Amino acid sequence: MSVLVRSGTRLSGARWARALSTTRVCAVATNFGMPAMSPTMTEGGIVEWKIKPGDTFAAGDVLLEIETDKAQIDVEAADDGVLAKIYAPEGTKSIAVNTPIAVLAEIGDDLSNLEYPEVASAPVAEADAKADDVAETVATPSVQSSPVDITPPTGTNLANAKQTLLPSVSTLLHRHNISSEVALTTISASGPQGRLLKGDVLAHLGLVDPSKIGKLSAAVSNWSKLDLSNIKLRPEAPVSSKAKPATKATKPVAKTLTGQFRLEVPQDTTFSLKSLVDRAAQLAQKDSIRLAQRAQEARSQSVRYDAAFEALLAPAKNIKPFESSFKFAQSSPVKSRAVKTDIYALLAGQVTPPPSPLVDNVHRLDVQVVVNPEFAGAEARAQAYLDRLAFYLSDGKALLI
Amino acid sequence: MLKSYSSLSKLALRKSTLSGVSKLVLARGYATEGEHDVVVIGGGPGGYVAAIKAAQLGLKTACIEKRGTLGGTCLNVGCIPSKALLNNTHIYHQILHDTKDRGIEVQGEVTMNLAKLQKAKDNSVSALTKGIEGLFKKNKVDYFKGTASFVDEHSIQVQPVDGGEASVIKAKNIIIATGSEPTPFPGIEVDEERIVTSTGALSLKEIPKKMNIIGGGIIGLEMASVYSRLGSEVTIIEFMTSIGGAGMDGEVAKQSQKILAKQGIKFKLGNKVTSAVREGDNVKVEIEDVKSGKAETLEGDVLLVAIGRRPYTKGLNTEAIGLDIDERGRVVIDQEYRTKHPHIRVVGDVTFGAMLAHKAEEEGIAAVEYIKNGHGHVNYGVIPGVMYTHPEVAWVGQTEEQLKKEGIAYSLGKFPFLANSRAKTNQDSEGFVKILSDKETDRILGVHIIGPNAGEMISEGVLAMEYGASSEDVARTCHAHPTLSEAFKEAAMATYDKAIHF
Repeated sequence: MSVLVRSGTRLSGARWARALSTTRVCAVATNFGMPAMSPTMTEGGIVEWKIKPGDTFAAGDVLLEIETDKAQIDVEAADDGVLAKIYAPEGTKSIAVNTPIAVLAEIGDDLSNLEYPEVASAPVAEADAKADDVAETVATPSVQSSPVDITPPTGTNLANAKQTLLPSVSTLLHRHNISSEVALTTISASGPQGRLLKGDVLAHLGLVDPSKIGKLSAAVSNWSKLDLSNIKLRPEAPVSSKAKPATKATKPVAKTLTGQFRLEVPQDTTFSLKSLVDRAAQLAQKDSIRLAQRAQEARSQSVRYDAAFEALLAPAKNIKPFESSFKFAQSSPVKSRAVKTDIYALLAGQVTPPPSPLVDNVHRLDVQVVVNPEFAGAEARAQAYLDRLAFYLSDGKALLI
Repeated sequence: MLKSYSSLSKLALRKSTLSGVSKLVLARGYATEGEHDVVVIGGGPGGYVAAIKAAQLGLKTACIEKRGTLGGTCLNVGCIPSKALLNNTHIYHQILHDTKDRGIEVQGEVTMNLAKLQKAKDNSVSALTKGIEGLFKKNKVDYFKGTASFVDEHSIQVQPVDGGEASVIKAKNIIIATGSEPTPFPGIEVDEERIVTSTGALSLKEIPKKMNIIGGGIIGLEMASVYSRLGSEVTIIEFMTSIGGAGMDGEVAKQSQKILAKQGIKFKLGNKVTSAVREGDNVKVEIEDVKSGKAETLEGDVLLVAIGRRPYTKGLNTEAIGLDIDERGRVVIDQEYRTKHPHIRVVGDVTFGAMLAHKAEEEGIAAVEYIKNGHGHVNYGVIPGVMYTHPEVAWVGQTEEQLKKEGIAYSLGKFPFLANSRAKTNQDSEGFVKILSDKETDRILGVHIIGPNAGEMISEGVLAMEYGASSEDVARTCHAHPTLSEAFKEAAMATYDKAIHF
């Protein structure tokens, strides 16, 4: 119960919520459901909200701490956003997985005009006594955090009353018959130290979409900070035991698998070395996918298999588990010899044997497979790929043509 | 709070004068011992500015520098000496090539006395570094000429540069500002004579006939300008397909390359260096086109390796206090420049961000303000960059490429110096001012200038952006006539409306 686990891969947070939400209307706001932190987790409680409604957060920020029957876990945001509303306050217990616990919006969204997604459209917990508790808590906090009370997103503030108006601002106000006193008390200012900017007046007049101001302010504020994201520590540096804010965002390091093959190609072959290797790579790639699917099917037979959890682990379509690259090197001087070898004579071994003096063209093929650390099970797939490649370049060479 | 700090330390000081260690320090003629409120390691733009600021805020401050002179890379082997060379070679070049159309008739031969050119450079450098020493005295900063290394989180050992015994100074707060050094090119051995870094390039003994430069960034292009004006045949070898490095707007980089090529500098872009060796007085460089793989050999008297700079922490013994260092050698900090030990802060080239003297200065002041007041501020969105070629290139904020990448719609206003009256009368009208503002709100997001005095003019863009100004605000602000700065105003007009003179 007291074990504190940090969700290292930042699985949870906004991206989960957005992926889970079944309502596609809510381009503005998304329900944030109770995340499933393990395949067996069915319900969890809120220990503490680390941010308040109206607060913006960046990818990697801890949004809240939840507890399951096994551990207390920090839930980190996967994307930047704003916490619009909290449904389940601190101390709420036994909330079924996927039950909305909050509403998240994009940075710069106008929280007072937010289209809240329907709570009902998200998966709802079973109607037992515990779920009733949740329903009650959903009702109460929504009063205290009604849109009116929400602090405006950063970058939108009351104008500093003691400012000399910028020339563009005074021109614009004059053109629209707004006195500077009225302007300074009614128009929210996005400039530094409460300075009223041209864009603020344009937004006030309805000539510019007000959400644009927030988005721009967020971008400007982002540029104004020293970029300390993705710090990768020098390997030999002693690793600090305490997690530091600056180093928290460290990305997992990409692992690289390598293989070395010796290929012998007679000169009279009609197939180029490259085309053969390309073909082998293609087949190995296909096999590795097939093997992964087979493993997935086998797993799904298990009682512990949870389709929802697997869906959460599934990477985006455009993410590849690994990238492979090839490098050819001639490992012995090219000598044309009269000895006729089998046209498909592609011999290979995992470890480079001393180059045989009897062959024509001996090439060394270095394969490098860089594993994507953010893809679950990528390393196994990369290994399978490398194994299959070894097969196609040796015993399975006949399959290449 | 801090007042009581210093009175406490005074008490401690009186007590400790009796101890043997402090007597030794006194005997060595160094600044007074005892615990300092702030000890700054490094006397470059980040360090010396931090030290002076700390002393001005009433903190008992020491600064440790091992070079022997203050001012760091910038004053000794960087910005300042290179500008001395750039300015004087520009005048020389102009007398040689740009007097006829101005009605100036030069009688007799115009020659360059390299030794005197170097002397002029050295004079500026020494005047400025001594000036900082004077500022230290004026502000009562204790100056330790020695090598600093950590003993523990609050003690630093100083090994004097002129020999003698090491002493240990104690500090409540420490600011690390140890700067950077030229990044070596793997496999190329620098001898600072024929194969040089920027340091060696600033004091070549003779003008090379043929000079090759690895790296088409600011340093490479500035040194290329110097020696090309002195008559060297200069070739720039750059791995990327554009010059100027990160931060320079693509269009500006292209225009700059065109102008520099017209001045006689050759460019080998998209080429990687495979090897470089010195053979007697000749340096052979093997290069290979990244795309086509076509190999080529370049020969020259001098090879300048200017591929960038890397953080410098040599001898600092950061391991003793377990500071986190990232894979590129930068000391890891948070937004308030704190390391894992909150009283140890890091500013300038040795940590994150652009390696620029003015960025380090800002950070030095902010770090001290954090120590004194708990609050400091550097706006990283408006740190200008300048390249002192002719014409100069200067920029601040976002480039077109960056805005496109972030998906921010923008308005673009451009005004050529060809249409500016002062530039035209100066017969120096290459380049343009380009302003990028948010499409809808007109807030200025980036300013890019290539042209005469661009480095001075960029400050107007920095100021405008610091205040969140729109291009209309700049356009509605009066600019003196006839000045180059009118081009800036006209570019602003072109951004939100229309320029008058183009």
